[in-house]
Amino acid sequence: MDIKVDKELVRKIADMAMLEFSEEEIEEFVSYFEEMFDVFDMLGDISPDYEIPPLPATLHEDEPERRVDYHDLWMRFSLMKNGYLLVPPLRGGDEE
Amino acid sequence: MTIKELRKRFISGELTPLEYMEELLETIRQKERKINAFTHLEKTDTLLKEAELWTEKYKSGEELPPLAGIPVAIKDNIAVKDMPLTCASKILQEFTSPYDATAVRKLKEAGAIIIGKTNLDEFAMGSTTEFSIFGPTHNPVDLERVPGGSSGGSAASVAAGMVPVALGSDTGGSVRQPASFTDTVGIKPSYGMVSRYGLVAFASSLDQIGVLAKNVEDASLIIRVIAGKDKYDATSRELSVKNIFDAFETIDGVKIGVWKELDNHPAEDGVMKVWDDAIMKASKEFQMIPVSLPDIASGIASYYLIAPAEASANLARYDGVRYAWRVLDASTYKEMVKRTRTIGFGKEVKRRIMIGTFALSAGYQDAFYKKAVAMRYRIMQNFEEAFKQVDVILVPTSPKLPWKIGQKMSPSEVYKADLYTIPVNLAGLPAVSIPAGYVDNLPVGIQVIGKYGEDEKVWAVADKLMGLWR
Amino acid sequence: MEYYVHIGFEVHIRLATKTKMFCSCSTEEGEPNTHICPVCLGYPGALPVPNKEAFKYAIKMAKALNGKINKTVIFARKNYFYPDLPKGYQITQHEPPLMEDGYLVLAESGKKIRIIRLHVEEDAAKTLYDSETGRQGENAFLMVDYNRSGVPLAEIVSYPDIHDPDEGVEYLKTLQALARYLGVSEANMEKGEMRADVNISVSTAPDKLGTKVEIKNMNSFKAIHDALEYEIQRQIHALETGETIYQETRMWDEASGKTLVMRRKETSDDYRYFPEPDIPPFELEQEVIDIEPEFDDLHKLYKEVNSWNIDEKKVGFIVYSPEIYKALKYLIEKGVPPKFAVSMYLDEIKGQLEKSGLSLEDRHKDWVVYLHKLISDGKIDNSIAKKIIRKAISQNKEPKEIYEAEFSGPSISEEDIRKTIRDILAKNPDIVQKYKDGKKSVFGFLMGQCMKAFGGKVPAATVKKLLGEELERV
Repeated sequence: MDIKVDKELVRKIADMAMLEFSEEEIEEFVSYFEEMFDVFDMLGDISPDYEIPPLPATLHEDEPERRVDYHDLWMRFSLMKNGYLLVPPLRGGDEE
Repeated sequence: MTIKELRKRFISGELTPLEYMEELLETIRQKERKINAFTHLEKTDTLLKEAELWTEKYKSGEELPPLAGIPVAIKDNIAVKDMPLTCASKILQEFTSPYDATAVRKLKEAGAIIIGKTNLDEFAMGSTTEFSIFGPTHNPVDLERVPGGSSGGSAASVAAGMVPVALGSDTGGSVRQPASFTDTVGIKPSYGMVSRYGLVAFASSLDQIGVLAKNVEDASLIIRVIAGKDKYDATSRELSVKNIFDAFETIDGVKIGVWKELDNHPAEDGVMKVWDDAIMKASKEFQMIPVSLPDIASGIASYYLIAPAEASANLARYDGVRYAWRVLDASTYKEMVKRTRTIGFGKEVKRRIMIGTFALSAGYQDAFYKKAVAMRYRIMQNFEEAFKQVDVILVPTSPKLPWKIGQKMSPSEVYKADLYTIPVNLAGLPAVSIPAGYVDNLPVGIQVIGKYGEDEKVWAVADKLMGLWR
Repeated sequence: MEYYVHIGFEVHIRLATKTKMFCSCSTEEGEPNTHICPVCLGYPGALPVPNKEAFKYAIKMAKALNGKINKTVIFARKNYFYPDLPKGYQITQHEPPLMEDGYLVLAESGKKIRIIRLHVEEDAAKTLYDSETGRQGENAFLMVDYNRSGVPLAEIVSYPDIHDPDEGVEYLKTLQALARYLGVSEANMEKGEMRADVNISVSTAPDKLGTKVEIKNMNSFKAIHDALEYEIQRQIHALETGETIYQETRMWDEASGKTLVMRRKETSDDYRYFPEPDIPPFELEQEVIDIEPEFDDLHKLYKEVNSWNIDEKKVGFIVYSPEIYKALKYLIEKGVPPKFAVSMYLDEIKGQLEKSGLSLEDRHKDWVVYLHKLISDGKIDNSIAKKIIRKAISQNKEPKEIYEAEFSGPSISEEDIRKTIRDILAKNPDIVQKYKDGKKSVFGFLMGQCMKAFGGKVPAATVKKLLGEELERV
């Protein structure tokens, strides 16, 4: 593979995946990626173009159904208020 | 004792579901501490009560569903209503399922008793059942060794006689390889045969629920119960299976293919020796034809891009927002999600999320994900060509014998041990791993692989071969 | 310096299915988090199954936009994290869309706006800010309601073919009316059934696009118009003073009447689209592909309504209101003159109903047919017709009941009418004389006296005719 992996790339990917890593872990990832690139070399120069053939698929009818009682789902909610699920703010007090 | 025999005894009263359940619970009491096959066991009282109920019903002589009173274990990545659904991950440690997977619902409707949930590699990502918050599962054949994975808990529970059958899931060999490691039978059905509704997705286009049992008959019988198109799974298909207690189809004149390029990608010596013996024995009964599958070894590269890519999206829902566990002291949404995921996922899961996210990202998708998919189609064609000459194909299940728990291996070394099982998932084909012999008391399994939708034929051949090899 | 404005829209229209796009939860409004299930909450093990009916709606809209239909449906995952997105990805049609390379003819001007694509996707959950804690806006906790999560949407993306705010609003109104004519969606902006994001750029050359700025958070045509006006001025000002215009997303702030920066894009978002593995690529059924929409061109309707020779200001309103257009069309087909139909149905009936907090119903069309018949039979006149309407609405009765009880009475013979007229003329000899002397304006006074005597039971036209004749005889 002529693609170069560096810590910057690993950090960018980690941010997209919503994961945090220490410096040491990021270095480990650089070598993990390199190790995997050796595996991916097996793909050779196969063309990335392919047709996706249609298949049989199950679709649903437009009839409402209550699959699970919503109270059963509420019981599993992390944090609730007045029927709403509560999530921490988009911005913290210290951010702009 | 097979399920058919069990049912016969339940009906005759020679053995009651209650007595049988007590036997199993006793076995579990004796062995579970050392094996660690379960992540959750249903309360003894509940199990005994349920078994007693079936005992009464058998006594009354009424017509009972096919699996009435038969205990079944379920891999802990398959939803059972009101039981934990942890995937052996911290991130789902506190989660119980509000619904039954379709396969579980069908088992319950058939009268099965769900005995508990079995251990696995976190989110089914692994081949040793070591990467679990519940600790490693030990191989009943040799307690110092791994039972394989990721359905190691299911395989171990069956191998140890703690339960006659268990559901597993197979994304890249996760039913067949543990079957091979624990001297049991593992069926991976054609993709779409069994509904995935309620199976926690790892790699949706590869995942399929499978079964572990002591013999092909028991395993296939369970598949016959859980198979069928499901309105809750758009990828499910109606593929033909026989009625639950029907005999296997006749296999006169079946042609068996033997993978030609195995010599270029050989298993370790002991495995090869069992393989050679097995092929020789088989050739006395069947017409054996060498077939070429030139590209399937590249399946490793294809699989280790497609599976992580799909996983990176499938595991995005574990953000702490709606259910299960979340970091409570975060001041923003983003901080909460990041910290929840960072603490909640184990090392191997993070590796897969990272490589999968990378494989899909702008600028890299063509060189990685798309090439991997193109290779997948090529591997499908390999099989299509080969199946023009033969009905089934034999390939060893694993290139390695079960290794010691804690053995140091690099990630790619572990991944490469999936070489023989992965192509089957990439092509969506049915396969069974059956015991084929031993090396120094360690079991070796061989896979019987069939054409798409011809699961019954695969089972019939596998059953016959297992008889020859035992 | 001349400035050139390019405006394009991304419009989301909620399809009027009874169930969600990928599960069978109801799409009706309800208490928060009551129309939810493992699928639309993104629970472990839950899988999406596409809604067959949604494609029937989407295909109507797609065909009415005149583009190429792709009958193979390939759903994709659009990956990003956000509090309203339960699975960490949105299931959407990426490549190919359901329709590409279409166009929409604007209702009034007849101008063609090119459409890039229409695709089907699922909606996200609804989020509110929890202001009770004293924190405001993005600093407040979010309250999430998943009833909206998974509701089917059609997204329609236009080329930047629009050049001013009026045209922008005309585009949206045309699209909204089209959705309503097709029965694809109520497309009510206030209810969020139609949402529009706009991108706008200002440049100094007609064939060159400026820096693209996106604006979000506009919930009415007025807000969109105001936001566009503001943004055009802001960008022109920036070009004039040499300030940088950033490629960014801005938010319309109703209170200040300004657009504010939401998020500046250094690089484009990486959504890591890939085919949704939980849904096989599939072909639409022939019955869906064969659906032909009944309306296709609002401009044709506009020209038709215009030809009715009615008040010009009402033409647009009628064309943009399918129910009213259809009712008027029905009346005209029944032989009711357009002007009369508009004045009775729209001004009188609709106007009176609205004053009483009521709205039009199907039966109201037949009121107009009935009243028109009475008038053509010479039984009543316009002013009586209006009286009947008012009474029917205030007394919650049918016009027939009102007419028969209050205005038909025992019918007065022509001879009796003439007699009454003659009596009135006899009582007012001096006025009659003035008329004879050529002061024709007193006719009105005499007319009034007669009408009063008949108490509205004789049509004015009849009175007028007979009064004229009797005056000649005196």
